[in-house]
Amino acid sequence: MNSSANHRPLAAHALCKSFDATVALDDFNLEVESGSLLTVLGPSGVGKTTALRILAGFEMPDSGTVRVNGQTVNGPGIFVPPERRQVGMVFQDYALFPHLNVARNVAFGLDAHHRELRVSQVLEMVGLAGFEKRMPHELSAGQQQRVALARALAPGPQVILADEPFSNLDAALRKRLRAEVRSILREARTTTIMVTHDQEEALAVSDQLALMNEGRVVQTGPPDHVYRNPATSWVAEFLGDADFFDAHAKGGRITTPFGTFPTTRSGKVKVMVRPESVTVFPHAQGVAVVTYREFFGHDQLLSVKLPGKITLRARCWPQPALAPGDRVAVSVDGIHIFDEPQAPPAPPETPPGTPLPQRVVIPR
Amino acid sequence: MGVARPAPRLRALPPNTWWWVLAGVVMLPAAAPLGVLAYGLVSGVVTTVPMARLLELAANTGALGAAVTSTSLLIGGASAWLVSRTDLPGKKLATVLVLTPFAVPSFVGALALLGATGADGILSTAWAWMGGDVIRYPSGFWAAWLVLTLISVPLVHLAVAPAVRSLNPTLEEAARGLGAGRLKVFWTVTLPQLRPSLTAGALLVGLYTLSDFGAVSLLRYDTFTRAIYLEYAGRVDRRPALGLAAVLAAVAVLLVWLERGTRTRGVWFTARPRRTGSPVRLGLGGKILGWGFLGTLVTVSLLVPVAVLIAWVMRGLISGVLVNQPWAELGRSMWVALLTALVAGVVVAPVAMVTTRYRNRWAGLLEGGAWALYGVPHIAVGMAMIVFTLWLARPLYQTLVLLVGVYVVMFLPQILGPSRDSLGRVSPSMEEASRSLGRSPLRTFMGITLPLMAPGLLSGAALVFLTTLRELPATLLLRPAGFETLAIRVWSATGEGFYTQGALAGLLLLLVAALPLAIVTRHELIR
Ligand SMILES: Nc1ncnc2c1ncn2[C@@H]1O[C@H](COP(=O)(O)OP(=O)(O)O)[C@@H](O)[C@H]1O
Ligand SMILES: [Mg+2]
Repeated sequence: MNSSANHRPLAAHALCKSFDATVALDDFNLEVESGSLLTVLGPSGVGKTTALRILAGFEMPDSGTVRVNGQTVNGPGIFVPPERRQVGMVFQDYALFPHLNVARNVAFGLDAHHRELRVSQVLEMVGLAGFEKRMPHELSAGQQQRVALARALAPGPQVILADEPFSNLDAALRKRLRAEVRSILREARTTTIMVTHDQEEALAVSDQLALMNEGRVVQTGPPDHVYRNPATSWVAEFLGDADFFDAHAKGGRITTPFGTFPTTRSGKVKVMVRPESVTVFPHAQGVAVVTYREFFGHDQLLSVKLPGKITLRARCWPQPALAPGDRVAVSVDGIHIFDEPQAPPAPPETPPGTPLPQRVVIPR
Repeated sequence: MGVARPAPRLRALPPNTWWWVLAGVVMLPAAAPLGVLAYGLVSGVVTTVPMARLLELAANTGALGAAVTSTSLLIGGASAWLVSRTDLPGKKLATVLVLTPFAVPSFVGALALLGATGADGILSTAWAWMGGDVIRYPSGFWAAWLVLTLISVPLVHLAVAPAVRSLNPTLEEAARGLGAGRLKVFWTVTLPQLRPSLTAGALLVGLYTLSDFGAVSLLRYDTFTRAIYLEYAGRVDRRPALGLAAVLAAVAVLLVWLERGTRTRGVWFTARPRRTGSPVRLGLGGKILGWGFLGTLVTVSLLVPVAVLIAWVMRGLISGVLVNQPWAELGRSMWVALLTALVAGVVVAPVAMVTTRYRNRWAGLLEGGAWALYGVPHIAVGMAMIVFTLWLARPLYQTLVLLVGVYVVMFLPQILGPSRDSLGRVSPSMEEASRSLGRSPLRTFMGITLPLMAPGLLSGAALVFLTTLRELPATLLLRPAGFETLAIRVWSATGEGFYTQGALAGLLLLLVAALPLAIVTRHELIR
């Protein structure tokens, strides 16, 4: 793994950066595989932008190294300025040059050699052939975004960095465009590092996820692997709905009101259950009581209370129509167990009208 | 696709340091006049002027300032209200007409007054011809008051009109709904909303009156600026002149400081978008009265002065006295103004970059320095630079380099403001985008920042050109021997009673000022 790191399009090692009293990055490590799309995911303020700006060369780290395709661009006594890093950037505000038309924006990073050919090639790729003469202000937000992408792709950089590239778009356009951008990047076989705070977006488009919290990467891996095997309860909760409760592991198993699960741990543990792995069905002698129901049409979300002050949510088929107070039986298809006994970070808010049993996690 | 990458290089300076270095170098000369004036204030040089004289000058200057400020506030406030808040027809034309007198330098205004009503004046001749008594030579307080008031009205109009336009009508409606009468609403609701802009306008006019040299010297009203020049011209000892200059500068800096305070507060009142009221309906009588007022204003402040100048030139042509034609002065004025505008356009870039992109103490210091010097009356700057060059930089004494340098430093804020406005619209991410696309900092500046800054630079440079053309007192003190500009020509010819000569130079000055004024007006005044 370490020897191949030399050939990574981009690798950051032990980056630290503080602004006055604020620690933005604290031992930040990241590697991206050639041709893949890596998403750095984390809530806002954890240092994602700072990390990206250091990788691009806009900001100096206090310590740590960055290598682009094996060449050190940040390191002890070394700083390669952004214009010589071969790292492209797609900005949150697109940063199109307002005084240049689309073709000249895209050609900005190219030398005279084959310039026109390359411009039309890239514009074709992003589906904007024929827009060469338009000025940036004559484009829709989605088109501006694709011009920004084309401009970054044109010089054929080692890596493209994108900071919250979809955050300026409305929800419908965002979904469409992220699929488009994904396939453009695939076609171009570009290595991309994207930053976002939107877990749905990250899970949908990424080859690799890097979860970031408090200035460092806490877990990396393919989206479904990270989703299924979160390293910490924080990761679990950040990636999707999850309910937690404390339990005791003894003799290689954990006993819960909804069944017994094998484990290798023992002692006090924390159990995490995702709503989609919970199934409920009406049962007069069931152990649980429905406390809350949200109906979405294609499915429903039920909150059920179990003995031992455990509350779980169940995402299930819209049928049967259950109502608060109904008694139900619960079956859980797989749980996740954490060692840490402490409570996960407090949720942002609590839905009105729900009693606060133990942990209620709100769908993001 | 990739090109061969050069080896990484050791980092010498972080990329922004150069801007700071350049900005510091640019602003360093500003320290010279400010330093000398500060020295003048604390070193006791002031005591070389008798206290009674200081008080007399302060009383004279204060009286003129108060009179000019209050009358121009009334007139300018009324014109702003008429143009911005009523359904008066032809408002665009009215705006241009009301603002144009600002292009008339005070010494040209004084010349027009003298040329109209002085000995041999156009109006006095007509009056005598009709059998009237001989008119006294117009001079002193009332003459200076008239000229400076007419020129100051546009300043007030400019400061107040945007605030009038964005008056919140719901407040007035609410007050009326609560049973307040029109007059009460005006005093308790409308006026408080306008107070920041009125205060700003008043301070601007006060500063302008305080600094004026051209009108008070030609009309012989004894204020600080005139006294400084007389002390300078009449004595070998420079200390009394420097002392007076230091006092004047201190008062001016105080006014600038107050003005900047009101400006930031004024933003709160004017910048918020909201519903603007439907214009006040003037009846036919109201419209006639309104245009009568504006027409009189424009006639007195613009048409009559220009007509008087033209009449004197005609007189000269007819009688054949117009031998000494000021073409050389015209050329000199034009190129020195052009040079100043160019230099200012170049040196403003780092100051604009630093003060727009960084909000720290040093940026504040640079900007504050530029503004402080902008407010210091030119005669005081000139006096300070004479003392400075005599003491510390003898080779620069009375050189063109010094003159242009002083112009640039004095007028820098005029180009700094518009440049910063345009630069503020260039997001730093555009520069970063250019860098990540392979352009060096210099090529990024040339390819992205500069083109986007250009509109502001252009209108700022036009403003600097205009101001340099009209500059009188600093030119008078610092110019190389024999370097006579149009402004100096007007002033000296008028002072010696050669109104024909002065009028021709004055007309030329107004004509060459029209072009940059048109540029500036398009960009700045009428938005
Ligand atoms: N230029 C700066 N000066 C001071 N603090 C900064 C600066 N840039 C970022 N920070 C701080 O560093 C932390 C991380 O910021 P950022 O990298 O923008 O987070 P994210 O992109 O994940 O929202 C925040 O606390 C932020 O306030
Ligand atoms: Mg960010």
